[in-house]
Amino acid sequence: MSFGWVNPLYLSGLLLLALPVLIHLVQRQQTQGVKFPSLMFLSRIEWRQKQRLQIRHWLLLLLRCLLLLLVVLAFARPFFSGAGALAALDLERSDSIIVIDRSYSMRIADHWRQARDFALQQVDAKRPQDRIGVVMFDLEAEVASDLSDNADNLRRVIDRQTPGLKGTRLRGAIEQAARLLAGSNAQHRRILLVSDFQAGARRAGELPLIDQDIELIAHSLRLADSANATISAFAITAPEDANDEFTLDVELTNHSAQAMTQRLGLSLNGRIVAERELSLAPGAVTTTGFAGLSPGAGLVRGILSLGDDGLALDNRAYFTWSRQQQIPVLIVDDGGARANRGVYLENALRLSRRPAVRVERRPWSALQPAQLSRWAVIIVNDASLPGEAMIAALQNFVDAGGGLLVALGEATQAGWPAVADALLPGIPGRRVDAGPGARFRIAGFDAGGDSGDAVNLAPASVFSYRELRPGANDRVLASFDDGGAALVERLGGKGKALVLATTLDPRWNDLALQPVFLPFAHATLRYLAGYDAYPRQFEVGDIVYVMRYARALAGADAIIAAADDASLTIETPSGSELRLERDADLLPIDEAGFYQVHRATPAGVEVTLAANIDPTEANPEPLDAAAYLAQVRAATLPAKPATALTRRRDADHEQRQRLWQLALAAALALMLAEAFFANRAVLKRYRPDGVKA
Amino acid sequence: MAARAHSQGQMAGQRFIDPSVLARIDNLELIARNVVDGFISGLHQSPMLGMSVDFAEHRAYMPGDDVRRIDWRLFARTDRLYVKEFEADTNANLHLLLDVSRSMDFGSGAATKLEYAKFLGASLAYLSMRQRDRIGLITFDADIVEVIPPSIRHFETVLHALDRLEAGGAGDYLKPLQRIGESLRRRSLVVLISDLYAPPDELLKAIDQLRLRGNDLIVFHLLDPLELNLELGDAGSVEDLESGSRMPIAAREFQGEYRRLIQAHQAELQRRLGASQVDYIFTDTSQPLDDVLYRYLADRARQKGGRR
Repeated sequence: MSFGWVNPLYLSGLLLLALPVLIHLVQRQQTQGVKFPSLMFLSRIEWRQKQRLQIRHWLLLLLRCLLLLLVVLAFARPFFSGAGALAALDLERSDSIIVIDRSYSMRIADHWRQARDFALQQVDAKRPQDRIGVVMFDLEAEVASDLSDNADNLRRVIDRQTPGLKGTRLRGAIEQAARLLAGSNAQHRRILLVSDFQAGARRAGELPLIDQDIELIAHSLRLADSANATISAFAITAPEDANDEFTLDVELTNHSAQAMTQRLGLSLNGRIVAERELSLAPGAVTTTGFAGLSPGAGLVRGILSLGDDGLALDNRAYFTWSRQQQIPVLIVDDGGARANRGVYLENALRLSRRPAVRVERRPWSALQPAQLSRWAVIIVNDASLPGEAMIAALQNFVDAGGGLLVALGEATQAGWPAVADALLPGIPGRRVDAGPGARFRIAGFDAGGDSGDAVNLAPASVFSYRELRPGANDRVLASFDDGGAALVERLGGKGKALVLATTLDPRWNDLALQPVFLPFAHATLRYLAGYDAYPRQFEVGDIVYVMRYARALAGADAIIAAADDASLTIETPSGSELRLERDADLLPIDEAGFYQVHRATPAGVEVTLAANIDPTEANPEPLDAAAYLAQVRAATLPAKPATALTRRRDADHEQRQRLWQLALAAALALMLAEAFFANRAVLKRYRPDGVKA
Repeated sequence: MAARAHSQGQMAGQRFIDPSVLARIDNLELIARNVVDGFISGLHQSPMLGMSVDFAEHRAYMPGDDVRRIDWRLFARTDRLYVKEFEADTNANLHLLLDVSRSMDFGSGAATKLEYAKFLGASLAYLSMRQRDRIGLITFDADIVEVIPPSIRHFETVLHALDRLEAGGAGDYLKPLQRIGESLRRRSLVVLISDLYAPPDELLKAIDQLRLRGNDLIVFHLLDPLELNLELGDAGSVEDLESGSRMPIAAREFQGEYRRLIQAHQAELQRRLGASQVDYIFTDTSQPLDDVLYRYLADRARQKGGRR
């Protein structure tokens, strides 16, 4: 056990001990004089200074010196260091967490072997009392082994690990390791970060928060300059005028410092349809394309592939394509002289890309009630209502999830026929004209929360509209500036039925001539179709909500319907099967390739989704590990949370220095004693025998 | 304490004679009566000395004299006012000269020197009243403060004056005693009560102003016990009550020398006053009054005897 001082400079305060001695020697000079009748005789007595320089009140002097001594000692904060006082801390032990990157970039060259060897070296080099934990990470962090001093177990755990298919994210891994160390009472705590430190591993603005006393050590793997080319991006475009044909544009990146010649192949539905050889300059991005691809009707499953290189995993890209993914829209008019009125809307809808749209324009006379299910959205533009059979078919269409929009105009009569009451919202009334030189404006349009679309229709001028009185179950989506309802929706059923109080051509307004017409038409289409802007391409590490994905696909109605009363079976790229219940349709994407979603009964492929690895993970652009660690430490300092260990350490430090408390307490007691004795001495000095004067 | 034991062993009523008891009584007349009556009841001999009704002399009328005692016959002859004095009336005037300088306002016990002097003065006044003596009071510090001319009826006036006495400023002896001596019209018994803080030469010179005019003098030298032994503990300095000047001391170391000086002062005063036929009675304020009164009466008897 050793002894020391936290603030030894305060010991210089011991010089203050001279003060009470001096005071006790000379205090009589400062004391108040005792009143005495006459100094006649006292003044005759020979004065000798030494008579006065005698210390009086030895007890008081002792108390005061001791008091000062204790106060000085308390400020100097003596402490003991020894096993007993340090029971809370294990000074001899070191706890380390080895954090190993298992992203798929670790498959490049011998990165994975380097990482594993380093981890095993740490286990071999540890002292018996040291503990090591293992955290594996890619996009997520996983504890492979909690803190353990069992070297054999640790070796087995490390040997068992393999690199994965996901990208890299450093923050979660470091924080997971810090959480493991939070329960450690070792004096030395450290995190060993083993990674190839790609630039993409650090997300913008993400820095982990760890305890200040945790040592963070980076073991950056030596990046081999391996010849590696990656399919970094691809895009499918389908021309409107070419049925079942599409174009595929591909972007290739050469991540190595050497020029490469690679063969790029394209297979559709398992058949190689194109192949070409490409020269890839070092570090360059090369684009190429495949046009006029016409694999036939139905779903297309395509694979882009490159030849072998340093990393085989990023040499394949999977995609799906289907003409069915275009939303079929029908525009109905009265035909004849009014047939061209729908051309404005038709042209606007054809320009839609997300979703792609297939538009047809027909009069009621060219339609059969049974044909309505071929379209997802039906828009009636200023046409008279059809017969009862067709209206009943429209009702079925809406009940099944279809979208119906009726634009009122000259052809519309006041009031709906009884058969249409349940189908169409509002009750149309008389025509309202703004008058010469005047106009109405549409105050606002919100196509609903599902798509999040909101379009400002104020620039459009409306000259005439037909009165529309909303019913109890109707919702007004837009109004004219005179208060009249402009767009009304009937609530209920799976589908949607809307009525617009003016035309979709320039006869009653100039909406179709305004730039705002395009977003209005597209937003209305998405709303009517129930289109979900869910991603179509997935990467390993994503989680897919199967139902939302299915809803985003035109023609996936069967899956949606099936999900109402049955579970789904999913076949993974590796051939294993997953079963998803209706209420838990989360599908984690762990592999690259095609996932096939089936109805459990009856069996059959309904939806296919393609998953690829994150191409940025193949980018070997390095992250400056030292700079990154410096940023982590800088970010940690101001926001360091008080962990249990730091609190324990603080408490232990305080425990070892608690002598100062005893010293102060003793000083306080001495102060009381001193006050008592000093009071007595003063009384005796100033009132000797009760002098009256 | 020794003095108290002495008084307790000799007389009844002693409990009223202890200064510490008297200090708690707020009525000087009561104090005087108790002290004197208690004291006298213990004497075997009456203190009424030299009482007589024989005519003694005429003297000039003074304001305050009883007009019934004017000798009208003599007035008719001389056209001046004289009063008759008989032997019984010729008991000496008692002049109480009380030092009220600041130094008297000091005491380490129940009573200060001034309070002790008040008790003593009141007792002497009462005793004199019983003897039909005329009683007067003169207080002084550096000068005369208050004068009550002697009269047989001035007992209560004197007591009242004593009762409201307060200590004054710095003290002196020569000037006030000289003026007092000049004001005394006839031989009187002059009782000086003081702490006598002055060099013996100066004191004797002042006292001679009274003595040489034919007055009989008794000097009461009052000191507090603390003034005798300097028991000031660890006091580092003392402050003069009268002048306010301070001086550092080492009380314990000074005690021996101080006692020697004060005792020498007493001895010197006793010797020189005795040589001048002046009675010197020293007392400290812890002593019972009876002892002081006894010594006073003894001196008084001696003076009466001497005068006859």
